[in-house]
Amino acid sequence: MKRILNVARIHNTSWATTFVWPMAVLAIAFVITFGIFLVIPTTDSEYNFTGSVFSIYGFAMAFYITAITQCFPYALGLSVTRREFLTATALVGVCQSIAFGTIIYVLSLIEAATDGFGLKLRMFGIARYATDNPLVQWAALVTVMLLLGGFGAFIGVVYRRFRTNGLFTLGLGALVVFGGGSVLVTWQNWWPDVGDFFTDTPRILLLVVIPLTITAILSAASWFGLLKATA
Amino acid sequence: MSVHTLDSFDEPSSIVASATHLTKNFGSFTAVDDVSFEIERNKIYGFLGRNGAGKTTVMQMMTAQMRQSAGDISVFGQRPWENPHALGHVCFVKESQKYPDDLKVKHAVSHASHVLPHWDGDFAAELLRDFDLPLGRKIKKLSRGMTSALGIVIGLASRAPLTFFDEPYLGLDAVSRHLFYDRLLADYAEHPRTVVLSTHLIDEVSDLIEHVILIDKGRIVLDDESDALRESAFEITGPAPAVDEFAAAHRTLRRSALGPSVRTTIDARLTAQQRSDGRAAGLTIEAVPLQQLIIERTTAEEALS
Repeated sequence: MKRILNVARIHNTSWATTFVWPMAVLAIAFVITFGIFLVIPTTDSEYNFTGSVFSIYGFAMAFYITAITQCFPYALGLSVTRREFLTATALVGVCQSIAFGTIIYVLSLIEAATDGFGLKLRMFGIARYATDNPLVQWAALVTVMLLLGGFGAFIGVVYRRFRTNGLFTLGLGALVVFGGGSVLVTWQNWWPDVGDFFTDTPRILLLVVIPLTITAILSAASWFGLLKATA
Repeated sequence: MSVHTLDSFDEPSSIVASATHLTKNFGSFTAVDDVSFEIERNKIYGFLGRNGAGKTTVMQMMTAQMRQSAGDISVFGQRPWENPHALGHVCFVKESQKYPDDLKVKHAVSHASHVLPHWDGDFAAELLRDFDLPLGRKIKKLSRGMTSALGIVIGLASRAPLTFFDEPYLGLDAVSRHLFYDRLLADYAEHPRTVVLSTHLIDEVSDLIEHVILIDKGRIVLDDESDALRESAFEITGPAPAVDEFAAAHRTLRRSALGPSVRTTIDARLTAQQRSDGRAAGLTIEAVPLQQLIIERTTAEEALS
């Protein structure tokens, strides 16, 4: 375990990159959003939606892309095994997701208690749209963080193994799957069913179990993709 | 993991690492072709060869950075692939080492200190001063030579029982290179270990290396003690007929004529008698320096193939 913790240090290039940057991104996103809603006339809606919290999720993805593309060869150069590196990466991913998920959850509590910072803002309470259960809200925030980290790592692995061609293939594949899927769903008039799926699926399944399963699949793919990779 | 017990060190065998029929194919290109060699404990090896000869590939496979296509590798009696016990005693400093974008010198040193089990922090601090490395600067912003110096600091301070230096001093000036040689020799005397040094600057390291492994086009063409090599080829200069007569009994690596006189390199050891006979016949007989020998051997092998 001590070994894994030592290897995990490699991800923490500096505290600035690991914590200060994402928190600064979040803080600035909040200030800008707050500023905008401060100067525009008060709306009649129940709450003012803003997606600026997603900036921190973007950070998580970028963090794990570079973890694989840059830290992996560097760690192997320090006589670290692939298993040690991947275990340490997973550990960092879980800890970081819990930390950031919890911070966002706490901020969403403050947001709710202050009536959206006095401006009916709904920036941190994104899980609040889907459920009123506090535990599921928290778990959803953590899980989505994990999912994006896992997705970032997977992109990193594809790049390490297949370089630019791999990324294009991945992008094209996603386009075909989602674009083709949309065509199919529209053609078959399945959109109401799709809507029902999102409203009727039990919250815990939709917000936690399904994202966790996708994360697990992506992680497994990343693991096997790197197990024989060259530094 | 227990890193302080070097089980294999108790074995009577003096072999710390070996490759057996090691092969690496990249598609249809064979970079390393059925290579076998042994590396003995507490020696400095020169791993020599031209660009693209396969030196880096061999070292990458020995240190489990890359999977071999065929053959076996043993490091401290174990296969190194995904083996923390074997790799814990190995440090690999590669010329092309990439560092994460925002990494500063001090971070790299700190990571190395946590991950490399034989690390000596005081020695590292001393080396960082010697090479004048700015701790707070991002590695990306360092000059080519300074990046190499950082690799050297990590490689030396790792005190790994088996340390590979792959072209460690690209871009490094002559003063720093000699600093490296001096520090390596001094520390090696106090903390004997096995060092494998791959380099093009054969002349500079010829006094440093105790054993030479020469690789060319993925094959080993020479694997011998440096001392034995120093007396293994001779340059005979003198009047053409006398040189040719003298050289006739030996394998000729090269012959060049300069007017009436001829210089021939022969691939042979000479007895004291043979040497004095040659001198009596008016010939100049000189042992071929290591670098010259390597060039002769490499080109001779290429001429044969």
